[in-house]
Amino acid sequence: MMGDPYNDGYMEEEEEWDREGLLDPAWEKQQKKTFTAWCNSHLRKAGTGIENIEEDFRNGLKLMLLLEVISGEQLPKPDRGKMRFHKIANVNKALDFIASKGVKLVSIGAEEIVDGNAKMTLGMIWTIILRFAIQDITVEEMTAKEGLLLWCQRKTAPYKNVNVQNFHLSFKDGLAFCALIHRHRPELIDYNNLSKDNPLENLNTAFDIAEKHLDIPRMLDPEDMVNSAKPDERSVMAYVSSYYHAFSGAQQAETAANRICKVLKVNQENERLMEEYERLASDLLEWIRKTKPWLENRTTDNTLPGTRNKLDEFRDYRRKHKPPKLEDKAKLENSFNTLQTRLRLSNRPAYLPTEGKMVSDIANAWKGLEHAEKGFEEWLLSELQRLERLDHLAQKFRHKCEIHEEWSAGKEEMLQSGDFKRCRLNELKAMKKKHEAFESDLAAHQDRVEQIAAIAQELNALDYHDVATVNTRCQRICDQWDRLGQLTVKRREGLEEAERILERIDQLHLEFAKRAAPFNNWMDGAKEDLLDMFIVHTTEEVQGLIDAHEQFKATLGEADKEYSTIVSLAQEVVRLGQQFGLTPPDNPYTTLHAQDITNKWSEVRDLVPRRDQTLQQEMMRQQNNERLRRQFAAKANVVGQWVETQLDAVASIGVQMRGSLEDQLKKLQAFDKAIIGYKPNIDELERYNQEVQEAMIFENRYTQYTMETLRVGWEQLLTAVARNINEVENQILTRDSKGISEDQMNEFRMSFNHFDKNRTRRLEAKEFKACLISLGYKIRDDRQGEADFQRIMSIVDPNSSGYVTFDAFLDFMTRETADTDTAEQVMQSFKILAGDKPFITAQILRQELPPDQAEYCIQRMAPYTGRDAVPGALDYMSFSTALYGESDL
Amino acid sequence: MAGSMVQLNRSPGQPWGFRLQGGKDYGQALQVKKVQPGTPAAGSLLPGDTILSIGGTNARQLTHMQAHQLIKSAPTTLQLTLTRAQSTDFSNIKPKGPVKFSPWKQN
Repeated sequence: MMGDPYNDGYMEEEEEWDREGLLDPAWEKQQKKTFTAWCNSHLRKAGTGIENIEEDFRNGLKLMLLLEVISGEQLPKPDRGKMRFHKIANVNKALDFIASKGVKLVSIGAEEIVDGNAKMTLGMIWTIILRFAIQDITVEEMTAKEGLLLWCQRKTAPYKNVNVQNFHLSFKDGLAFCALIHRHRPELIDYNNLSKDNPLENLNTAFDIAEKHLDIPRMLDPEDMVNSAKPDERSVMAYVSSYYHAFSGAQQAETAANRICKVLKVNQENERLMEEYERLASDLLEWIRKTKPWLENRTTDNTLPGTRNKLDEFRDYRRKHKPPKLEDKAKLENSFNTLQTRLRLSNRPAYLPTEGKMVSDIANAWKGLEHAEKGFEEWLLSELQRLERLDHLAQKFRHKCEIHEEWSAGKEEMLQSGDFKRCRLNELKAMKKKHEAFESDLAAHQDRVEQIAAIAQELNALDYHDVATVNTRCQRICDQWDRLGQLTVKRREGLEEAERILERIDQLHLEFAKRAAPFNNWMDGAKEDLLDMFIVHTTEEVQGLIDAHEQFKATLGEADKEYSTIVSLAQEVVRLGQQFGLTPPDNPYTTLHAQDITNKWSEVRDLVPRRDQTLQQEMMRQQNNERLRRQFAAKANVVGQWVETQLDAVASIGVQMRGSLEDQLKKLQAFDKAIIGYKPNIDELERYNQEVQEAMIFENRYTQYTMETLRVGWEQLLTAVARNINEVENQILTRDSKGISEDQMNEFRMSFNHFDKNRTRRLEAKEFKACLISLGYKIRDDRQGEADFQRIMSIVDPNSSGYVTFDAFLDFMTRETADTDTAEQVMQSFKILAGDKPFITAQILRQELPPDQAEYCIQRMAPYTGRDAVPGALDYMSFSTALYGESDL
Repeated sequence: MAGSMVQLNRSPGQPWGFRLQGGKDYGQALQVKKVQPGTPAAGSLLPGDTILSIGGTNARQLTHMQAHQLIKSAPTTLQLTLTRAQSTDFSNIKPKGPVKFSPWKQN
């Protein structure tokens, strides 16, 4: 009676008893109950049902309806008449439809159905169940009954007291049903409390739960199951197939939901990484934009404190503000690489940052910053040196002015005096001599005024900040000097006019005047030398000054003899006055008194030991500077060596290929730790360097290292370790996600390192080509080969940097082995959740996905606008393509 | 980069028959993701082609939806400037079997 699709061993066995009309009455009773319930479980979707299976299908109408519901297809319009031939026509339409599904109905005729033949009706319904509920079950290419049996065996395998061998006796004690439910929905049933000895209770439990929670109506009667010697196989199969459909559907939905979650997580993480990249890039560029003008501004307020302040600011910038930004920059490059790796692994196109925020833009901006910074510190230090020298010059200027002003005070009044018109001849002669002496004194001062003017000019040329005061004072001195010259000439004319009348000589006074004046001048010079300000940078220079001072001291003996001579001349005048009882007149030949000479001489002698002391202090200061130089140099030589050694060691890790990636990572992390532990040495050196700078030491011949070269080396080391760690992590990521074996990884690494001759951890195009050839790629030495190679380059070097990293190389070598998601796979997963409909609802999404992912979908899905839309329908197809930045046109 | 010009023709209401990928808002260039056989796009576009301009509009500045609308609203002809995709199939030059490093191999 059955068609080909069911013509297996199982069916042949059935034909035996069918032909002989030997349907067991007990089985017939069970089938009636079961098939009725099965039909109703479908007919209820059309809002109807049957009560008596051999009666209610007789006019063919509900039969056609049943087929429409279970197939989802439209049958021809039924005849509405109530005549017998109308009924036969309708039943035939149903049978034709079944036949059109590839089932041959050999022994079932429409007349027998219309006549209410129970056996034929049940046979027909079984055919329908077999075709529409069981035929589609495929488990590992087995069909129908075998497939369903295998499914039951697998699902109940963990349950020791269940052993499914068939669809009759194996289900009799009810435990098999309970196990099937517990396996899929463990929360619904307390399996451990069930016993093989309570079949009735077991069956009732299973059927109740299936009805209440799984929406499977009761199709079997527990009493019949327990009481019949062998339950009806077809009834049990019909009922079990409902379990299969309920559970396998749920399983499919679970897989689909998992796939969607996985894809959404990747997307959310990528979006987060892109946002983070954009934010970091914006911040860094903004900081560079703000900082650069400050470094480019090479002006100071021209004062020492202001310039020292600026050096402090620069030190802060270099030690506190710049290092974290450099870290940000490295982090940015690393997260860019990570993101690209992730995108590649998840089959998304490469990430292009917003214009102006490319990695190369950031590198350029950083280069601009470094360029602006270059020479800033040297400039600042030289500026400090210049200002210090200026300060010193200004003090010298003031010192000379004071001496000159002291000398010139009252000279104008004296020259304008009319005293020579009211005196005797001898006094006049004296006055004339006195004036001549003044004139030579005036000439002697010419040099000093010129020196003052020269210093003022130099201060102007060097742009001294308080040049206005200097110029005013210098102008005043020069103006007065001119007036003195004019007044001197005028007075000499007056004196010469009267000279012809007056003459007198005092030999003693004359002798005194002759000796005192030059000696006094010499003393002025010596005083000036003893108070001379100096600036030196080495012990040798101080020693030079000390030697000069010693030489000066050697001349003091001769000077003391001259002093005694001059004083004895004056004492002779006094002695003569006392001897002859008269008051000695004032010395007409000089303004100098013996007392002046004595005072000045004692001043000079006092200044000599003070000079000794000053020079000794300077010597000590220079010796201390020498100590600071040695202290810095000793430490710098150790740290410099250490940094260079570490740099070499880190560079060689990636190249040596010893051990697995995890070993490399561990080694690098150990380096990272060691470097962090070494930081106090750098800090110590920074303190020494600060001492050196504060002592105004500008050169150090004991070491080739400067603080700046060490800072750069240190930062290179930090960056290199962080970068290497990131590279190895990316390689691990790639290796794990693609399932590359350790051996295969070593082949790739060996070939890559072999061609990475200069150990830059990247290959030039030429090297990369040789590498591919060594790995067996057939790249011919002609135009075709060049074209092939360019195609490969466009994949491994999408930004045309001219270099291939190990990461990109690895990805290329393994690009076909990756398990990737595509928009189609995601769409297919949503379709399963949506029950094959072209749209999905918020309710289903909330049911099937974790809350935050469900909301992610609901917020982004557009309303579905197809003709079959229901209220609230969402378009999962455009959403799925949009996840990959795609849309259909 | 100079690209090649392509013109597509369709009857009213017919889809162009290709899938668009990327856009400014995705941080990706606009690309042809796949082409449906038997449509106006078939034979003219290839998966992986990069779209440089749509009509006269520079595509670099467009978001995905802007480009989508621009192409969708084109009546019966559509002019695109493309950078042609390069094939990513290397099976003809790939080594057969497992990859072994053999430094003596060279051109």
